[in-house]
Amino acid sequence: MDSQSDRKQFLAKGMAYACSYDPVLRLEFDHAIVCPEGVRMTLGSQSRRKDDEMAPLRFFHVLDALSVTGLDQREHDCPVGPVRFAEESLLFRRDAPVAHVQGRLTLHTELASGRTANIDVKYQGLLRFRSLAIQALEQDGAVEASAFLIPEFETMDTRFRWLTARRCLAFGTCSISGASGNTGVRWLSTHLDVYTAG
Amino acid sequence: MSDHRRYFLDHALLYVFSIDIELGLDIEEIGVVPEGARVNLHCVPGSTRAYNIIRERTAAAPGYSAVTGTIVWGEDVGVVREDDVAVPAVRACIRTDDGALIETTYRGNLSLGMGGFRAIVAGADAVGTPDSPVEFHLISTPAYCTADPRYQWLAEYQCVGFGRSFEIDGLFRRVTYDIYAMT
Repeated sequence: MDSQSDRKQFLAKGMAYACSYDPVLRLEFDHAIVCPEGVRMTLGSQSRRKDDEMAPLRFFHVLDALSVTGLDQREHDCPVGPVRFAEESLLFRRDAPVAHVQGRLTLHTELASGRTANIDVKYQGLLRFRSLAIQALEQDGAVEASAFLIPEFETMDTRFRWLTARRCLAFGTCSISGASGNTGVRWLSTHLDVYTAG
Repeated sequence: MSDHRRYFLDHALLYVFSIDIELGLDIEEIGVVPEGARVNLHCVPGSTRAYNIIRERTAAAPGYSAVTGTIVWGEDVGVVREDDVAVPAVRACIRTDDGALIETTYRGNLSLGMGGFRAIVAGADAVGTPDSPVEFHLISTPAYCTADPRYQWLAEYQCVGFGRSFEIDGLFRRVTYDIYAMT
């Protein structure tokens, strides 16, 4: 191996669609903490829109397929089903157009076979705004951002080994809407497509 | 029929830079812990290069300086899980050719193939030679941190690295990555 010469060609890369997740979470200003980097807010599944029966938190396949083709070119069960538990922390930076995201959720999958499996999903990443992230909390009207998350799926169920053994990437968008200010309620609506990378 | 979105979202990867990491022989084998087999690896300072494959001076647009330089310090506190997946956890510092310091932290996934964990624990994994190293596919998801205004843009992206790891005599000796920003 010649360590002194730089590579001249790109390495092969691939991504394969796994599932989607479009949560709507309530931003509670009562739970906001001002810290040196900006404002940190904690969101939980109990704080989602309780009056909206049509929008429970769940993972889905955009085309309602039951399986997806993995990077190994094999068909695998798509991890779809309701989210039983979710908590998320957002740090809106005061010096950059990004908010750092950390979260965890438990997905209760519904497989075509009728069997079920629980999958723990830890994730971290960032939301990128057009202006300083902290301004998104102060502006009136909807504020749009791009969302880039790294979910890690964890389960001992071997049917999802194709997911737990790979690094995953989630691309998407999010918007913050609703009343601004310290007394108003704001909603964080996120749309995410999850891909396995390899 | 569920009431959900029925279209895929746009997504793209933007090439940022490439990196070749030489790993030293000063390996610390912590042993088998509840998560798997723990091992600490250290990079060889100075012989690790960050470069741009297509020799661009900017990454994507003017004002976004291309990253070229060396790693001055780096360690991987990795674990090999029982499901034959190695999970590196890396912290490293890049010194660019124009003097900026950029810190990176990331985790990754490296599939060892069936029986990989057992082979490592049993010490039966002495595969690969200098002329013919064993190659593994490695995916990492680095984030970057710097106070240098020339590279501040890098800290505003979540990145992904598509790479290869090379094993000689059962030791990971070299890693090479192409780093992309998720956009």
